[in-house]
Amino acid sequence: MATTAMKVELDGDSLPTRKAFDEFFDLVDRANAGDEKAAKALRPKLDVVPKVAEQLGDFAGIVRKAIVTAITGEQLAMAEAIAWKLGALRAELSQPSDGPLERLLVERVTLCWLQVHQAEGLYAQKFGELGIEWSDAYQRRIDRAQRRYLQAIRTLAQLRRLAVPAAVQINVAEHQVNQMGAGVRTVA
Amino acid sequence: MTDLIARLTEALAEAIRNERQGLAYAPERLRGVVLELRIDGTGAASGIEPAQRAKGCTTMALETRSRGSVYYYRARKVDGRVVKNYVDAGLAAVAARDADARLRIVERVEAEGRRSALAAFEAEEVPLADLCRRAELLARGTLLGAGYRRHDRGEWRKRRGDDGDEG
Repeated sequence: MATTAMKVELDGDSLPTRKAFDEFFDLVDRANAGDEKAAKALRPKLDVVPKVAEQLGDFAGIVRKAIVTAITGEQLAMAEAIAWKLGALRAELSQPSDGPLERLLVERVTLCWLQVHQAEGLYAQKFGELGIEWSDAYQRRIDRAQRRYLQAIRTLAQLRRLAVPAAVQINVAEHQVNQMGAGVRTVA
Repeated sequence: MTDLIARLTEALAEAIRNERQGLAYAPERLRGVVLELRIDGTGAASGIEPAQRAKGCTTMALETRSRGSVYYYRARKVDGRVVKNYVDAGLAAVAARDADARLRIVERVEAEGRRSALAAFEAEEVPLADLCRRAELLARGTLLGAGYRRHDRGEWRKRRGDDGDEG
């Protein structure tokens, strides 16, 4: 396992929907804190979710590449094997009707899974040569990675269980098709 | 001695360069130079021994007596009281004091190097943590917007009569 330093930054200012993005997250913060008005104000803004999810999905691709490079370095065969495994995991978690938000949450689960393995692998590799301070740092990293992984799984499961509509309405011929965010499709 | 100081300066510069470039910090080289400095600057007897350092031994200024003699003591705290340990007198005292000062600089640089290496190590997680935070907010926002509420970090539940279709 290589130990290339990983440097990736999310350039939030370059997002075309930056303002909508900020407004949306501000409302989520307030609604999370119990602000009912903010929770209601979120409804008409749900149409921003697929766009933001797609942009974050692009960013997830960059993060994935950075983590894989950090693990494999120049070993292309290993990079291919990891890509294959991630693809298999993604396929296992995905559903055909997934929208951008579900795809993002699936991608998040796969990345968190990868980071747990990266953290554990690195720690196992360096176990004998680490002092107390660094050993603690590696263990803290594993703890954080595991927490993120579990949270990612929990959130995906919640969204799938509740089948939350992402407020996307498509009209096909004379039928109104409501494409729900978590894969529920209704035809009226 | 001049050569040693030059090597120490170079080793310090290397540590700082590594830190700025986010590279791994390598204190071995610095430590090697410092060990030589102790022997060269103070003699084996007057350097700070590892056991003394572990007890919290610190350096302090030279003390001059009325007859003009110069003495060097190291001080450490024992049960809240300052205890002085005699190190040397005369020129050897000055050399010991200088060697201690150099050691302190090197230790500060080493500690700083360790701190920045740990910070760089933890910063490697930032992109994924940032992505997770935003994805989580997006999912929560979707649930809240759809009329779901979560009480006291428990399950997400839909409020009675709240179908999430209102504008």
